[in-house]
Amino acid sequence: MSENEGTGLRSNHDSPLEQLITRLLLRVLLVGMGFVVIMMLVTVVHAVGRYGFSEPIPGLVEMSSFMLVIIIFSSAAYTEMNGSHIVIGVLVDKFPQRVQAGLDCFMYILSLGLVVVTVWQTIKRGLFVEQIEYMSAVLHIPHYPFIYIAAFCWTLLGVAILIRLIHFVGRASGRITQ
Amino acid sequence: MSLFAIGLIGLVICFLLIFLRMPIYIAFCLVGLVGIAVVRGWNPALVTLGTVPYTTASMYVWSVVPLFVFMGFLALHSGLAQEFFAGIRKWIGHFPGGLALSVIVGNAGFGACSGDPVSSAVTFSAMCLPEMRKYGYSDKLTLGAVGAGSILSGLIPPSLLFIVFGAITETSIGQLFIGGIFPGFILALLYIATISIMCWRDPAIGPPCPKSTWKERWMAGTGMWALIGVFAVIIGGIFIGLFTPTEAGAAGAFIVLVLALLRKRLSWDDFKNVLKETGITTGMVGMLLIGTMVLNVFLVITRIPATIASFIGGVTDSTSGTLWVIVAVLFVLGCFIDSLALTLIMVPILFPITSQMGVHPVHFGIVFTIASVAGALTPPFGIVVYAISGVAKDVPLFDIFKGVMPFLACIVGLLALVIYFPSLSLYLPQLMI
Repeated sequence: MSENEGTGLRSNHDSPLEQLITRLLLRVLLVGMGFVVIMMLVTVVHAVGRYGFSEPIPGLVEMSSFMLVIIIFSSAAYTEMNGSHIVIGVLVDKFPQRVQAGLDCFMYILSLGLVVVTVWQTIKRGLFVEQIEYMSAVLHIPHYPFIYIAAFCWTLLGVAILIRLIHFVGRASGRITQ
Repeated sequence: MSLFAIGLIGLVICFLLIFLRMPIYIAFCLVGLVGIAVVRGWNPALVTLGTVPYTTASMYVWSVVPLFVFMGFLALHSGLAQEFFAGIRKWIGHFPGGLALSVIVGNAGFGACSGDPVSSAVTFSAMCLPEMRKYGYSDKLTLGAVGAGSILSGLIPPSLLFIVFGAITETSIGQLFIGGIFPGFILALLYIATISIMCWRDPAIGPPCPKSTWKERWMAGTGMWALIGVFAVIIGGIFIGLFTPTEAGAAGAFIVLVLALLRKRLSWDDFKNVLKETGITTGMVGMLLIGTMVLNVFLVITRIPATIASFIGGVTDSTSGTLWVIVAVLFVLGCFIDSLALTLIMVPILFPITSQMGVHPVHFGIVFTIASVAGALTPPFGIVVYAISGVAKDVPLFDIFKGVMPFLACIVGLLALVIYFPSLSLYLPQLMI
């Protein structure tokens, strides 16, 4: 699905720190995907309970929505690190390598700026939601912890973007050839 | 400067950033943020960036995405797709072009588990090419059938594009799934007719395989029957109103997981890979959705969809004419942009146009999806063709593009049928309970 799938940054140039961060992001992703399994099981139990015992799980929609927040945000950073977010390279792929890297640098500086602003705004939103004690309607689960989780995952995404940016700078300057 | 002009400039900048290789979700968010700031000021723009991503990610309707993606990767890693192909081969492999026909039917079956054409294309290329070469099939026919067949995953439910379309337009995903059944099967039949004609004209490109006995056919891979069972549960459950699409996804994934565990086809490492690939796909789709929602706020403020709707309304007032104009636009854009990104960019703009003209949302959803997946086969972008080329490294890319061309004609034929006969996509949804 992604045009640049598999062109992530796993290479011999990876420093121990990068390898550590990649492993950490993968762990975060796997924890998030654990919620896919939980969501699957809860939904099946809900459907069976509804038809078999006339006892559906109350607040399933709310539970699934909160799990979805974790699932989507927890996977964003590793996906970025793996180079699997969709990009269209049909034009830039024709340029010389260093020009490509220069353009990528510029795009990733903009990306990093956007993510920093998003982290800031998400934390602000979390503080506000915590203050007004905004909760879900059925199970009365507060929203703010999940907003903070989203902010944390945006931060991880920022780290992944920063690491890719450093690689692009290396390529643009000719220090990294691959 | 008028709002429309600001919106248009925003869209142009967005496309520019995308073609300069900025990740699409970032381009959407960035243009959305700056665009809203230009029109309404920085404070509302920043508030949008702080609220829309979380609100989007917590929309229950998206829960169907990770569940079906999980099911698809489970089916892939537990070897169900391979077993399905092996089973179908025993039933129809002895006909001229029988293995190519098996690829089409196998893809249709695998499409019932995986909504992603690229996964299907990669799986079937790796699986079928060596065997079909052994029986003397031409690479062009083999890879053309694989590429064309993979498109069926995008049409036969559960299709990821239907889910995204349904969620963006608030159209029933269940109705879209059910509405996609007839067009999906018609496309499979058109492919089968094309292969049969090609092999009739030149028997050397697809010689028949040895005939299997009836016993061998009935004993053909349990995976074949398992996939048929999963399809029946998902589609049957939605059709008779037993399940919502999310529940169908959960039930399908649960059945495939239990089958894989019972048959010892899924090791712990396989399972971790399934989770990893599910995460990568979900992360990619999820962030695209978030970007789209931020961009949409900007598009709605600048009234871009409404203005384009009135423009197209001025070009033609016939429903089918409008749909053909849209198909033409999608075909051109589809040559450069992935079908998922295309759906996310174009649906918010085009949907109001067709709604205004009274086109049924399910009908439009199906026309849109067929036209957007076709781009996966067309040069220069053709992501499915590139995916196949990654597996079949010794076959020139040009040969693969040539191989899929006859099947592209089938897709255009299907579009004509669906546009002029809306009941092909609306009859089954109307019968839903």
